[in-house]
Amino acid sequence: MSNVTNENNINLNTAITFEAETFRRIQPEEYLRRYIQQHVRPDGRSFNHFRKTTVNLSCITTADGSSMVRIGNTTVICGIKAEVSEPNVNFPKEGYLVPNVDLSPICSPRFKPGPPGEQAQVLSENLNKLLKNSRVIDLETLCIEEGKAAWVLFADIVCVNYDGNVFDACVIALMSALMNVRLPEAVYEDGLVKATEEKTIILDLIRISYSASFAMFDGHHLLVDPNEMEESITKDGITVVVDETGQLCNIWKTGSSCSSEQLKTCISKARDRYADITSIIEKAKQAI
Amino acid sequence: MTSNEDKMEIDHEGTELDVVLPGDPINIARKDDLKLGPGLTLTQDSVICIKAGLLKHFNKKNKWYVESNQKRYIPAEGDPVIGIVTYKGGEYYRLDIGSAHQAILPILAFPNVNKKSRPILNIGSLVYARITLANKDMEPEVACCNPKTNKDEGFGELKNGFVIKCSLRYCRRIISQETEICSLLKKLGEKHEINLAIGMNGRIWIRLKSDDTRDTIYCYDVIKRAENLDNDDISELINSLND
Amino acid sequence: MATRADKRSSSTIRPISITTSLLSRDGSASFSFGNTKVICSVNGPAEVKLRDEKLDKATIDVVVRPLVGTPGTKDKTHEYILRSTFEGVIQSGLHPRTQIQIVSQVMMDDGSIIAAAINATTMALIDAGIPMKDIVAAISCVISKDDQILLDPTLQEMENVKSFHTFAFNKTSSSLLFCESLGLFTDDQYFNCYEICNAAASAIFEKMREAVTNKLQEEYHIES
Repeated sequence: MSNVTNENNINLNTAITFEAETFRRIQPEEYLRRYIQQHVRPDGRSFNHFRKTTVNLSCITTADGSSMVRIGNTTVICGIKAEVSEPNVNFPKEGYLVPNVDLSPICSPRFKPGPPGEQAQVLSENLNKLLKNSRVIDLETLCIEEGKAAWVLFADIVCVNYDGNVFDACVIALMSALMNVRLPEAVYEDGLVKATEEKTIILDLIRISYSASFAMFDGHHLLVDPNEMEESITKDGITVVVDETGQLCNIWKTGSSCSSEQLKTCISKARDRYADITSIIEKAKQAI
Repeated sequence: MTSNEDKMEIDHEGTELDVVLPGDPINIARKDDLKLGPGLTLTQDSVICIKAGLLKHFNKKNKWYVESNQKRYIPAEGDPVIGIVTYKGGEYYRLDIGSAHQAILPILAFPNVNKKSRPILNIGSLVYARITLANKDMEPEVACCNPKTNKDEGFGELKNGFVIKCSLRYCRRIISQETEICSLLKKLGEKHEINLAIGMNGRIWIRLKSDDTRDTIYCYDVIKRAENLDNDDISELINSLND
Repeated sequence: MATRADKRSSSTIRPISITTSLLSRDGSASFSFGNTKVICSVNGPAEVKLRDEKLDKATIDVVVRPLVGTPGTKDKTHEYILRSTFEGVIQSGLHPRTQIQIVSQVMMDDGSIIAAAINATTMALIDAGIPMKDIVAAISCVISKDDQILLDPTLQEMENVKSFHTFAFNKTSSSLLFCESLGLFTDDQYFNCYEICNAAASAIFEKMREAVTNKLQEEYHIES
């Protein structure tokens, strides 16, 4: 807090002096603002810097597909378990893909045990909408026998450590887990589904999309990949999801106002981020 | 019971309806000695509206406000209110005055009171009081006496009678002694001797001298019916009372 | 150009109807786009539960009730959308340690539900006299299979589309408050939708002003 230029602030500072930690606790917004004025964020990153992202594939051996994603301190694990069920009467040729996000008290004290809270439900709903509307997977490939049997893929995403930007982590985890799903080959015979582990099939993904999230501070500072502290102060979030051709899959914006120029910046940054994630996942694939 | 404030004449000449919505910028030519009333706020240099309603102003005093109607009462200092006792403590009572926070009525806020002779109010009693402290960060405080004169000035417990709930605007209309409503009340007073207390929090207390239930309900009905009528219709209502 | 099932042009909004003060709550309003109707009530500033109390501002509590059945994740998401959109608009600092409760009930669903819910909430907040520094209007549009932008889609038009967009704008600066875009679309398509919806939002603001004016005329017995 030493390089304060504003005259008012100097007066304030000479009146009372706080330890940085005390200041952060009592005036979190002002604390962040002082950093932003110096064009740096409290964790030392620049505005455009994503945290270190790592991906581990097939980390759960009992699941049909799994991955663990870390973005900075945010850690999520996604496990996909396949089960056989009867298809929906309205869509007899389609299987199911059911994403579910769990934010348990293990990842942050702000979550209470019990049924999923609002944030977890909103995350699950948004993931579900993304999968459905941008057609990540052709659900007809999950069909075993029309109207009789189809695969249900339960994609359970558990947040192990919560430090902001969980949606990005969830999308990467879900996509990478879907990529390494190995389904046993199944045939439908006389009301029974017979599956052989000897022959496995890889899911055919139509589209692989990744997201990039941003926080807006004071209406004009765009912070990429916000951590928990930045997220809780700014409250304004923009998420952009793009696919490999650069086409937009989802734009989600909440909170106070932003201009179309800012949206354009977000979109172009999301495309840059897509390339980064692709190379990270390629490395992870080679590591197995 | 009359309001102490002088009846203010609105010298706003415009005949057209000046409807404002939240966020509308208010164009004020004179910036000197500007006074903003309810529904307006100052942001940096400009004045913006934060409530929907009719924009009114007094040219001479350069006072501006937004006239609107609402059901929820927000305490304001000096308002007479009718409250219901919900808690009885050693030092104070708590009154429900219809606002977000209950109001505090200190034991010592009655005329001629000391530690030994305290006013006797029970839970559920009705009290007519004036707001002495209204601050968004504090619980509102009310008093039943004027500290300068140590007189009750008409405030105190309201015994028996009947409370009418109505919109805040209707209370303001009555308390500002709009002529038509006044003549309506006078008309009612000719037949029945009525005690009336008007709370700015959307509550009107009436008590007939006769304490007759039928007549009380009759008066309630007339007063309630006038709530949504304009002056012409009220005159008509007055005439119909003659029959 | 192919006409729509209800003979509207691609950039016409269905008939809007707004009713205010229809419930006994502090504020209430219903908003409808054709056969889509949402009713919203606002109560407050009222007493707040101790665990929800915020020392420097009002707690905004939103409840969304679906047309049928019990609330699910979709309704929770709508609650989140309404709360985050209005938190920045309501001057909650003027009523600290109180609660402002917004309850929104879907009455008829024929597409564009969330846009109708946002508009109904704006009107109910106005009706309740909650201090706000701005007002919000929302509108949806879809990009159909043949790349046409259809404003204010019905439930039928929302099926089999390339993308679906909902935008909410504020009145003073007509800048974007909420946006949800789903499906597959290009930058140009997105910003075309943005512009069309922005223009439609100003038409909705006019309707809102009209509704408030009518109500005030009625209440204050002013001849129009």
